[in-house]
Amino acid sequence: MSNLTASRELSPAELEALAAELDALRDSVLADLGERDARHIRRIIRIQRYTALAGRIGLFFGFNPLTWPLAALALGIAKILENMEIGHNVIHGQYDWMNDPRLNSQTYEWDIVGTSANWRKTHNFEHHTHTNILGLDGDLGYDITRITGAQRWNPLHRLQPLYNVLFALLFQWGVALQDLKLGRYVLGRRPWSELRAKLKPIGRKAGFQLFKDYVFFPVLAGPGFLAVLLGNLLANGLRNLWTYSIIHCGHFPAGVRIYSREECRNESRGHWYARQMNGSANIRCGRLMQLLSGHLSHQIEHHLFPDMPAHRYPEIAPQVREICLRYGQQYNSDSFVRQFGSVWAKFFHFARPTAQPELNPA
Amino acid sequence: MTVVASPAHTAATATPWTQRLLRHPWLDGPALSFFLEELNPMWSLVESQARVRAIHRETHDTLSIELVPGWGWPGFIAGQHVGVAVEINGISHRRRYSISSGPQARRRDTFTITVKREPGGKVSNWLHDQLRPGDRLRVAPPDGDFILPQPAPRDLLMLAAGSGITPLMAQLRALLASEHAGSIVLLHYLRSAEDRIFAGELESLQARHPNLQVLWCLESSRDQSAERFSPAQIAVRVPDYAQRHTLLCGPAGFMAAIRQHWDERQLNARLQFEYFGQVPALHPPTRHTDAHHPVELAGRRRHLQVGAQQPLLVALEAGGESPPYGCRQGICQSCKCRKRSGQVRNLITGQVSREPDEDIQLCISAAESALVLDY
Repeated sequence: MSNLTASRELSPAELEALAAELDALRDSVLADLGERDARHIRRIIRIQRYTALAGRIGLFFGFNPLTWPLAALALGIAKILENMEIGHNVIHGQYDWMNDPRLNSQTYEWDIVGTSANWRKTHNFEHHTHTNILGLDGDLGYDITRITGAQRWNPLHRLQPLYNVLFALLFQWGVALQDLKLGRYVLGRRPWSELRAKLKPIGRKAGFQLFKDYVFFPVLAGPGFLAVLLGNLLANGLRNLWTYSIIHCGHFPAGVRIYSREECRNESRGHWYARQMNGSANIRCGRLMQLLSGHLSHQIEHHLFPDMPAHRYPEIAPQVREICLRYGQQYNSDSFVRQFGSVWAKFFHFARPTAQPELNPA
Repeated sequence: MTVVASPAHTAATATPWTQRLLRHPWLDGPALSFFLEELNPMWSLVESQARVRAIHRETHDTLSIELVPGWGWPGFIAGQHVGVAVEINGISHRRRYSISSGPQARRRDTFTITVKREPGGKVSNWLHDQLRPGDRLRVAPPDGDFILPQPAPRDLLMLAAGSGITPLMAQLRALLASEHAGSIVLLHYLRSAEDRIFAGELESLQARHPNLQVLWCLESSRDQSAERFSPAQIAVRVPDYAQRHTLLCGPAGFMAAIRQHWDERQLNARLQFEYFGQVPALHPPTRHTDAHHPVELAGRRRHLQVGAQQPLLVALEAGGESPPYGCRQGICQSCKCRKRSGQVRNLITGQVSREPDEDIQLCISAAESALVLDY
C-alpha cells in the first residue's frame, strides 16, 4: 500500500493551501486536548514504572531459566516505553499544556546515557527544523553512514553495514555523543578544552546511568550480582536495537526524499510541511507496536506536528494521508520488515563508491 | 484574594528537602517520587500536597480553606501567599492565594487560604464548587515580601478593600498573638454589610484587644452613611493616620487612590502594599501606546517595552536580551519559557494564553498585555 509515486512539485499557492489545511487539522486536535490525553500519558507512565519494577525484581531471582529472560525483557520494554512513548514525546513538549512539572519538556530527564539538553538541540531543533536537508540535519546517516549518492564516499563506507550493527547495539551512546561532532576535535579544528567542557554533563549523566544499571542494582542483589548486571545489559541492548531500528525506518527507507540547502532557503511554511511529508516514512503495524515505537510508526504525522500528543497520530493519519495524496505528495507507509529491509539495502548500496540515484524497489 | 507572585519577591527561601531529594544526582528522583506517590500522594517529591482539613464559609461569595500540608512544606511569614494548582480537564491551573491564618495558628502545621468566588474565575469557582474536606490540593511554597518589618512598628493602620483583607488578617493575627502593644486600626472597605469577611472574628478580637479598632466602611449603603476612601474620609476616621505605619491591600483602583495620597503627603516610607496583579508604576515614565507592552524579566529585574505584533523573541533581542532559541519558527521548543503573568497570543495557532504560570514559546508569541517572563 505504499505510495511511492514521485511527489509533484507544488506551486507557492498550493503550498499555502496545503499549510492552511494542515494547520486546520492541527487546530482541531489542539482544541480537543484534555482529560483523555492526560489519562493516556499517565497510564503509560504507570505501566512503564511497574514493568520496570517487575523487571528489576525479577532479575533478583538470578539466572533462573524462566524468570531471567522474562525479567530482562520486561526491563527492556520498560526502557523502550520510557525512551519512546514518554521521554521522546514529553521532551517534544507534547504535554506541556498540562502544566504538570512531571511532564515538562524543559526539565524532563530520560533513562538513557544522553542528556535531555543535548537531545533538545540535536533532535528537537536541528533534526526537526532541518529534516532531511543534507549538511544541516545531523540525523542523515549520523555522520557515519552514507545513505544517498549525494554524500561524498570514502573507503570507510565499505564497512558501513558492519559498523551499523555495532552502532545499533550501542545506539544510546551515539545519541549521547552526537552533539559533540567528534570529528572536529579529531581533525584539530576545535580545541580539546571545548570538548572537555562539553563532555562534563554527558559524563555526569552517563556515570549515573552506568552506576544505576551496573553497580547499584547488581550490588543490591548480592549473590545475584552477575544475573542483574547481565540482565540490565541485555535490557539496555534491546532498547538500543529497537530505538535504532524504529528511528532508521523514519527517514531512510527507499523513496524518502533528501533535500539540498538551496531548495530550502527561505522556505515557506507550506514548503516545510511538504518537506516533512516527503522526508518521512511510516511503519504499518498494530496498536502495541505503535505504542512501543512511541508512535514513531507515524513518523509523517509526527514530523508535521511534533508537539501534538503522539497517541493522536493514528487518529489523524487517514486525514493526513488523504491530504497528502490529494496534493500529489507521497505518503510512504509500509511494514516494518519492508521499511527496515530497504534501509539496509541502502547501507549496502551506498557502501560502494557509485553515486547512483536512489534505489527504487518498485 | 488571588495574587500574582512578583518575581522581585522570590525571597531566598531554602530549597525544601523534597526538592533536594528529587534532584539528587545519585538518585532517580522522579521514579522515587512516583512510587512514593503511589503509596501516599502526600509524599510527592515533585509537588507539595495539602489535605483539606475544613472549609468555612466567610460570606456569600468567600470561603476559608484550612489545609494540612504534606512533606517538604516550609513555614511562612504572615502576609505571604501560596500557590494552589487545580486540575480541570487535564490542565493544571495555578493561582496564588494569600494566607489568612497567622503563623501561630492553633496547630502549627496548618494554614488557611481565603478565596473569593470570582465571576468566570476557573480556579476560584472550582474551589467553591468542587472542593470538599478530606480532598487533596497541590500547593506551592509560600512566597512574597508583604511582610512587616521586625520589630513591628508600634502604631499601625491597615487598609483593605474586599478580599484584600486576607494577608492583613494573617498579619493582624500574628501581631495580636505576639501581644503587640501598639495601637492597630483596620479599615475595611466593602460594598455592603454582607461582604464583611472575618466579621465575627474581628468583632471578638476587638472585644479582647483594646488596642485594636476595626472600622467597616460600606461603599454602597443606600443612606447617608455610604463612604469611600478619600483624603477627607480617612482624616475623619483615623485623624493620626500620617503617624502610622500603613499596610494596604485591595483592588488596583482603590490602591492607586491611596498610594497617590500617601505619595503627595510624602508618606511613602510608611506605606507597604500588595497588589493582586502586576505593580503599576505610580508615575508611568511614558504613556505606552496600544502597540507596545511592558515586559518584566523575572530574576534579572529588567523592564523593557515590546511591540504587540512582534514575536517576543525578536522584541527581547532588540532590547539587548539574549534568550535561548533554536528554530525560531515554533518547532523545537528551545525558547520555551515560563510566563508568570500577562497575556500572549500564539502567532501560528492564534491561541491566547491568559493564565498565570503557563509555558510559552518566545519565537511565536506576541504580547497582548504587560508581561512577567522567567527564562
